[in-house]
Amino acid sequence: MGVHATDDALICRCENVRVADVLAALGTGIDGPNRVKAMTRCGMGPCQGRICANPLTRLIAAETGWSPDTVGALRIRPPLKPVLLMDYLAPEIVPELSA
Amino acid sequence: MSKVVDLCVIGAGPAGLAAAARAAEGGLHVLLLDEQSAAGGQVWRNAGTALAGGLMPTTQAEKVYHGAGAALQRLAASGVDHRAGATLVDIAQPETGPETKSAPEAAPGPEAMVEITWRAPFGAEAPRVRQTAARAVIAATGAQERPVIFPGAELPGVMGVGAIQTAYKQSGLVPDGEGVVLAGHGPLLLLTLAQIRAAGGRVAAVLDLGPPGAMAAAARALPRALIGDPALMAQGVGLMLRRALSGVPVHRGVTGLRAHGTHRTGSIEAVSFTSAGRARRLPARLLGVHDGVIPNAQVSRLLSLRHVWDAGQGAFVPVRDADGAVAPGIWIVGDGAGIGGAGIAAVDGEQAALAVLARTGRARTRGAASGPQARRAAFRRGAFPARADGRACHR
Repeated sequence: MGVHATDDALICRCENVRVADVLAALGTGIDGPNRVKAMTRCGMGPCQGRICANPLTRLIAAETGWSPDTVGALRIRPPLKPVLLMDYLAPEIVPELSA
Repeated sequence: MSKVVDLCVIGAGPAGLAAAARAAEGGLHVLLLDEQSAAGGQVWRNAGTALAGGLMPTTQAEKVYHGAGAALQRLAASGVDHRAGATLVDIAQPETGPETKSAPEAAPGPEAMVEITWRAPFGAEAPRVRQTAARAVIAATGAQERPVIFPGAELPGVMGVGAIQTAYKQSGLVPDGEGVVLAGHGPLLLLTLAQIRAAGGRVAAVLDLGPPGAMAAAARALPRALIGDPALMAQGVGLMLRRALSGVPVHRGVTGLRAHGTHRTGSIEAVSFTSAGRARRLPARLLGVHDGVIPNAQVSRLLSLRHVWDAGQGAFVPVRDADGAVAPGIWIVGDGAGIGGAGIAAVDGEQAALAVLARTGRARTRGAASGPQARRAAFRRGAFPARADGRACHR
């Protein structure tokens, strides 16, 4: 995170989550990036953590005093990049739809 | 029904190009998926056009794209099925559970079949989202810029220095006019500054976000970081930097960086920060930021592979075996496995392809990659401390 991350800085641009939102979540006793994600939506957007995953691990490590290995990282989900639903539902992928 | 290939290589940068070409030369049916419209990755972005003189004088292009010409020719001769403009959507191992995926050994067998879902380029015939089953996968997804989190970072006119690089390499564009400010540290920041100046662009100020001495270290790392060939670039780097920095105010030890403006104006209006104990504010239209590069770990994360934190790089890296294998039938090579630069990435890709060939019984020997680059690949990583580790604390 570093010395430039004030509370009003955006950490997750996809879901509009600020550093203060993450700190508030940590303040309720939850720990770990994936619990922060569930509570704040940090990392849940279309970029799947490309922007926030690395800063989030370092922020939580700095706040808790844990090592980054202990903190861990956001889990991510497909699709890795946004895809049109009509493309995703092509017969090759979902054979039931071609009937 | 899914199409089946011997090997799917993801990413056509230095590592992916070497891996795909080597495997195809060994007789494998190789599908090479790459997001960009032309092979080369980020470091060799648009190399084909540039080397033909389409972007810059060819003498300059041969320095900027050192090694790219040979790699592209090798790809063209190799018979690799290269799909430019293809986007990876999903990657999965249907036959194995998460608990078995973390074992970094490449055992042969049907359980190693990897299911790849990818989107064909715009304009391709239907279906646009396709599935391919691969007997082996080499992921060479490269690096990304480490996001810099500071207030105002989301405003129009703030961009990563990597984005400035992209505009330069893709279209020969450099920022010009008043109010161009670069903030950060590391070799890529210096290189971008030099390229902007060399192309006639102006830079109003450089804000040094690194610790004392980091800029000198970055200057020393500059040739290797971007080109992967110290011998070629070491000559002339000093001169290049003196020219790049001449007349540009450098603010050291910058803290409290903030960009000011609104989304309506289309660009920022100013940047503020503290340097040498003084609060400062500079008018600015464009702010390029850079905090080093980190592995793009989305493939290894999607596969739930095991990662360890690399303190020197300030990032997680996947746990690999000596050939780069991370799971049965899956290898991760190049900067995506830990930042090492283009030269190491190419050796890394080559080595993984040899391992894939050995598994199919087609390689004569393992470990044929040799020479200084290969030795460095053995030591690999940690060469570019991505940021000031001591400063990696919140506020």
